[in-house]
Amino acid sequence: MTATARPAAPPPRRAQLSRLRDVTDLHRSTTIIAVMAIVTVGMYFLPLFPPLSVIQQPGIWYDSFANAGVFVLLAMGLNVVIGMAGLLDLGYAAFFAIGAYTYAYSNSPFSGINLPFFPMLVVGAFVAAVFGILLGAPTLRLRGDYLAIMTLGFGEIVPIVFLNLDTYTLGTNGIGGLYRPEPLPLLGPFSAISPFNYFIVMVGIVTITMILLYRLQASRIGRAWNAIREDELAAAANGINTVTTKLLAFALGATTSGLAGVFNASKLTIVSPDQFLFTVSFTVLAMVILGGMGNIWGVAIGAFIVYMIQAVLLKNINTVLEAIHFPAFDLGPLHIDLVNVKFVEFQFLLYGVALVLMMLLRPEGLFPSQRRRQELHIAEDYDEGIEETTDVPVLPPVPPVDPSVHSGDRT
Amino acid sequence: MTDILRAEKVTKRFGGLIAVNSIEFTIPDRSIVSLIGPNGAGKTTFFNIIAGIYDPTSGRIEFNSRPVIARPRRAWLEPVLWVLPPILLALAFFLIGANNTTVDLIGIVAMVATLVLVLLVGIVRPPWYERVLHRLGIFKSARPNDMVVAGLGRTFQNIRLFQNMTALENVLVGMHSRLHASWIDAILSTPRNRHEEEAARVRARELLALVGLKGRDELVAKNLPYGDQRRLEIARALGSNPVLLLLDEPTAGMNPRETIQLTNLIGKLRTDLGLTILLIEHDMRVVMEISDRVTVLDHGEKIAEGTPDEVRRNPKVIEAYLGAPPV
Repeated sequence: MTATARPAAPPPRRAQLSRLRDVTDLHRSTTIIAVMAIVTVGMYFLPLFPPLSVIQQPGIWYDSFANAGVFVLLAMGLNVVIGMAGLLDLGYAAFFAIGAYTYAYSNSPFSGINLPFFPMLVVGAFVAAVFGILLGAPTLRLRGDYLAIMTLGFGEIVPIVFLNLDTYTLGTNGIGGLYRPEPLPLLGPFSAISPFNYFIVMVGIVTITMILLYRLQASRIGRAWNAIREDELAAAANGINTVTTKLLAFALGATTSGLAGVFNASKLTIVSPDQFLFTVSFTVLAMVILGGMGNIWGVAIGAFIVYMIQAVLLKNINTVLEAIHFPAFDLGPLHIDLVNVKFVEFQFLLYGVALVLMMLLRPEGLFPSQRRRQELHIAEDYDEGIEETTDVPVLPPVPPVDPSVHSGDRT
Repeated sequence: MTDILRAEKVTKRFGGLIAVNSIEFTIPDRSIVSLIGPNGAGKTTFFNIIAGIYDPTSGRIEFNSRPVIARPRRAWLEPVLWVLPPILLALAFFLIGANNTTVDLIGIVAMVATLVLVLLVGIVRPPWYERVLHRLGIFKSARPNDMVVAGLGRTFQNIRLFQNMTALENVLVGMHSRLHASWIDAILSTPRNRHEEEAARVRARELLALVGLKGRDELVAKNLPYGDQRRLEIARALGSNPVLLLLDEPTAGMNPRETIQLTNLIGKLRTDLGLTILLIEHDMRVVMEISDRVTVLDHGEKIAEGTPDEVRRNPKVIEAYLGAPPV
């Protein structure tokens, strides 16, 4: 067993890539800021020129980007809970709602209070975290399916509470006429007509959140989450307090969600219970799965793509078809008139198809993390591992263990 | 020589089955004690009780002369303590300002706030909270992570590594309880966090070299050969700087050469790191070679205890392993 591993020399292209990866790993925060700056510049200029400017006005594009940012935030937050710590949370929209209502109370004619926007971002996130702890503390001792059911219940309860406590929340109508954030220096006031400010603020929030989440993932806490996801008993037997660690994941997921809620409320200027139904939780979950669970930037891109498809592409198919007077045609008994098909209504059908295809073809998601890929592609990795340690003597097979005798380990 | 661990009349029942029956057991400091017995004798159950995974049905275990494990007492009282203050508060507000919306609202907010505070205290468990529990006669048996913090490391019989993490990361997880950077340190990337992380990596590489896995830090655990996985599990357990190391069949499935190497490693752990080791083992050569004392279990009861030579000649032990001689 004294043989040392001789890693085979990687091919040159791979070497370059891995050198790039080393640099980005070393200066991760700088890399994120640089990439986000390039992306922002791209997002600013692309809508001004033909392919995109034909579809929508630039202003509407910025508005869509800002809305997509809300879902990017939600997906990154849910990724902490599901992708990193491995806790299935089906009631994620509840924290989104709590963040939004927090902003509504602090900035509306209904409550008669007008507090500044940026501090409220922090407050909303904090309130959501408090509710995350409140829900998490009694339920995180549960595992797997039971936790999913509890969170699903919580996700249903919160909108219903907001709906029925109509003295405090105005019920179905929701709290409207929320004040917009104070004007930004240089960029001027926030308004529905020029949503550019929202876009810039969103980019800032997403960048900061991403940096913080990456740091967390690389830390001792991130490792502990990973360990819990892989084997909770072994994690506990190695000194990880599983209860507090899971609770932290839950609270941080809720924090991100609350942040998104505050932003969304200030942008829509109205909050009502029907914005926070199960479909939101489900959409975000689908985004996380499609993007590649566990990989922060993968999840962010996944959420962005899914939102753009549902909110821009599907909406505009009809507009485009109408604009070019797409002809209806008859195929015997079949009368096909694509102009009259409401493509937006096919959103969830598309999710379903996309998820099924995903599970069949690429179960680790579009942009998986290294680790998830390893988990789901056992055979390929196994071959690689053997290659790297060829001079290790072949060991005799493990003798079968009588399962009835030592069942003690499998609690 | 003081005893590092003392078990008094530990019993564990699973339904009608008595897996461990009233066992008295001590482990002297810096010794290697082996626990042997036929399959189903209750060795692993006893092991899991020491490691905090099961609560015993009766009896207690002292670790470093501190009672840490026993049957929980008045455990039901703790949730009541959590829920009581918010409910009292809500009632008080209700009595003061019935039908006054503002007072109601303040009451609701205050109730939620106290509930969250109480729950947080109950989960983080600061020392004063433990003292309050003690005063009220509530005793909670140590959980596995509490035992690790107290200084106990363990390996599993069926290897339970974090399969998709690298060898280095596995050891770093083992060191978790000895690192102190909080999540705030992590997101702010404070100097404390960075220095601690660097030092931890250096230490983890040392531990890997110690068990003979030098140069394999970056290999994913599931791709390591079987023998290396066993060694990695020992390195991971050493990550928490334990004073007592529990090894559950460390040489299971190894060939004779590897078994000898591992036996030497275990001896080295005691002499170099000053560890106390409790071993469950079926390979009698290993047991007889390195143990200072051997305890034999059969059907959950201790049937013999003594030096390897004494145990080897004990007729009860021979009977347990080979059956009673024909009459």
